Parts: sequence; structure tokens; C-alpha cells
Amino acid sequence: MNRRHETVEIRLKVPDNAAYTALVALQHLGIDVARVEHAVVWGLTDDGDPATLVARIERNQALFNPNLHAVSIRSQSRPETAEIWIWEVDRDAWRLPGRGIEGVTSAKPMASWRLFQRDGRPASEETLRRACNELLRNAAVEDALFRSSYLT
Amino acid sequence: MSRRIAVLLFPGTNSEEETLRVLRDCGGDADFVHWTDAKALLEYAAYVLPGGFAHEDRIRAGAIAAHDAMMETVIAGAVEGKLVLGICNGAQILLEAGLVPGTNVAGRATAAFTHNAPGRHFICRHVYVKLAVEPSRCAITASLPEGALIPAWAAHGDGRLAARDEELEVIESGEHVAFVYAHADGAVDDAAIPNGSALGCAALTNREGNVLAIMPHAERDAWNLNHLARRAGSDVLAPSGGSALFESFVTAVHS
Repeated sequence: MNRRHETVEIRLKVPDNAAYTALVALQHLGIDVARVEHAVVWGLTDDGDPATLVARIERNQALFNPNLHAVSIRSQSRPETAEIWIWEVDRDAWRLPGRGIEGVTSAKPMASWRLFQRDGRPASEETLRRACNELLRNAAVEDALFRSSYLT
Repeated sequence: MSRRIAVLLFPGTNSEEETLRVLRDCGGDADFVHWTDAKALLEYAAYVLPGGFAHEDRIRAGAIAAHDAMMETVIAGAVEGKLVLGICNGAQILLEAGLVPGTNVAGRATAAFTHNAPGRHFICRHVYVKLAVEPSRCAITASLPEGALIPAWAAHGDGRLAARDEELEVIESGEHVAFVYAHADGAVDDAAIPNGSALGCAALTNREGNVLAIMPHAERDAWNLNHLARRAGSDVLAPSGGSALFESFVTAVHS
């Protein structure tokens, strides 16, 4: 058995209403962001053939709609610059055996948010932290990970 | 002094008609207040946040609505002591706004009604909720009998009370759990909990007892037409058990 941990991103190909709503709400809260990107990032434990992982996910109609979604495998299992991962603390709430993906034995969903400034550059960690604390995360039930820090 | 009750409409609210109707049937002077008319809320004595999917539950259930301009008035009113009742999505909004359990500053959530467990499934089933505190602990339940059993419909994907362990201890010791899930005979056990909710919680009240956040829809079991065990004869429009909660709410508004 070739058990591996993989980080997979499922992103909308169509306009992401949640990202736009988050942008407007963050601006309403006085947080200086000009663009928000949103995706669902899955931390998977996979026993299957790495070469077929994307195809196996794309066969799962509960997770993937070819008209809406694009799947990609992340090279790193941590957030990128200006990105926040947010997930529910209570593991029982999300621990479902593989989410029905062939070969996948556990699947942890995380909300991914990437924030950008007006000049197009990635938002600062201070901005990320504020966005997280004031809107994107309910600290009572969710943890968050930035590239350089972990919020519990 | 105004005794008017505002039923708040957020974009995505979907249970406003039956909520308004049951309030009026119980003698309440209730009106809709639209999200574009937030200033009108100042004229009202009490607020009811109905169920639905405000702002499409984007980010999290209730997260965006908790920052809506209407909520600034609701939070200020709750701090002043006005009565606030949130049902289902309305309850989620009250938690996101930090009004219940109200153990921190307003605006900061310390708990959530979040994904059902196990399995994150949406549930739609008839339930009973049992008053778990002294009726007078919460002004909205003050006219109910001790241990009142209220029939309702649970219809949610995010109804499980969750919080950090230390906060759950505060919620329990501070008697913030106003209603727990129960069987039809009033018995309380894990099998009665449809969604994995911590402490069997179906509803939370704040420290002062003027805010109540309840997940199941008692207003959907407020008339005989939508209740199997009819309370008052065969008239389909006669009140059934769910109306008792709203009778108590209206009584509190008038007192």
C-alpha cells in the first residue's frame, strides 16, 4: 500500500459569489482588500495510484461538477502567500471516510481565502489576521492557518 | 411605549410569512422590516429573525447577516434589554453576532450552530424541544409552564451547537441552554438529538434572558394543519403546540 497525504484544490470555474460577498463584506468592515479568491482545499489520505487521483476525484459527483469546478493538486501542504486555510476544529464534524473517493481513506475540507491589495500585491499578514478574526473565521469552532502562523 | 414587533427580512430569508402570521395570531403587532430600511427598526420594541438562508449562507451560516446594518440596531436593542428571538437561520445569525450565549462582547461569537454531525447532512424532521431552564430564566419563555414541550420542525444543515470545551462549560453552568431536544413523551436522551448538538441544545438564551436563539421551527407547527398530534380539535387553523412559544413571546412584549 502506498499511503500518501495529498492537498487538493477544488475551485469554481464560474464567478465565485462567496468570494465577491466576502470582498464586499471585508471592505464594509474597513479592511483594505481589492480582490478575494476562494476555493475548497482538501487534505486527503490516499492509498490509490497518484497518477489517477484527479480522475478519481472528478468521478465523485458530490464534490465535482465538470461544468463548475476545476481540480488541481497542490505541491505544498500549507497555504500560499496571502492565503488562509480555515477548518472546523471538531474532527467528528468533517471526518468522513474518504468522502466516497476511491482509494481515499480520509478527507479534511478547508476553506481557502486569498486576499489581495489594491495594487495587486498579496495582502499583509496583519490584513489576513484581521479578515480572519472579523469575518472569515468563527474562532469558537474553527482554526486557521496562514503561511507563517496558526490561529486556534 | 411601543409594543410593535419587527420581523426582519434579510436577502435569503424564507420563513417570514408564517412567522409574521403566528405572531399576529398570538396577538402581536408585528410587521416586516426590510434590510433596506434598517433605520425603521428603532421604532420597534422587539425583534424576530426568521429562518432561511440569509445572504445564501455565504462564508458561514449567519456570518454575513451578522454584519448587516439591521444587526447594529438589533445588537444595540438587545443590550438595552429589548426582546430578540431568532429562529433557525435567525438563531445562527444571533450566535454569529455574539448575542447568544452572550458570554463575550457583542459582535464576537463564542459558539456556533454549525454543520450537523455526523455526516453534515441536512435534516428535515419533526422534533420536540423541552424547556430546560426555569421559565423565568428567559423573558421569552416566562409564560410557558415548567418543562414545556414544544413541537417543531427541525430543517437545517447547520444546527449543531459547537464551542470550545471551556465555553461549553460556561454555557452549561450559566444555564444558557433554554431548550433541549426531547421525545414526544418529554424524555430526554441522545436519541432525541437529530444533529449531534452539544448538550442536546435546541435553543440558547443570553445571560440576561432577553435573547433566545432556537434552531427548530416552532412556527411551522403552530397550527393544526401542520401538526399530527392536534392540540385543539380538528379545525385546521386552530393553534397547535408550536404557537405556545409565540404566545409567551407576545406576552413578554406586552408586559
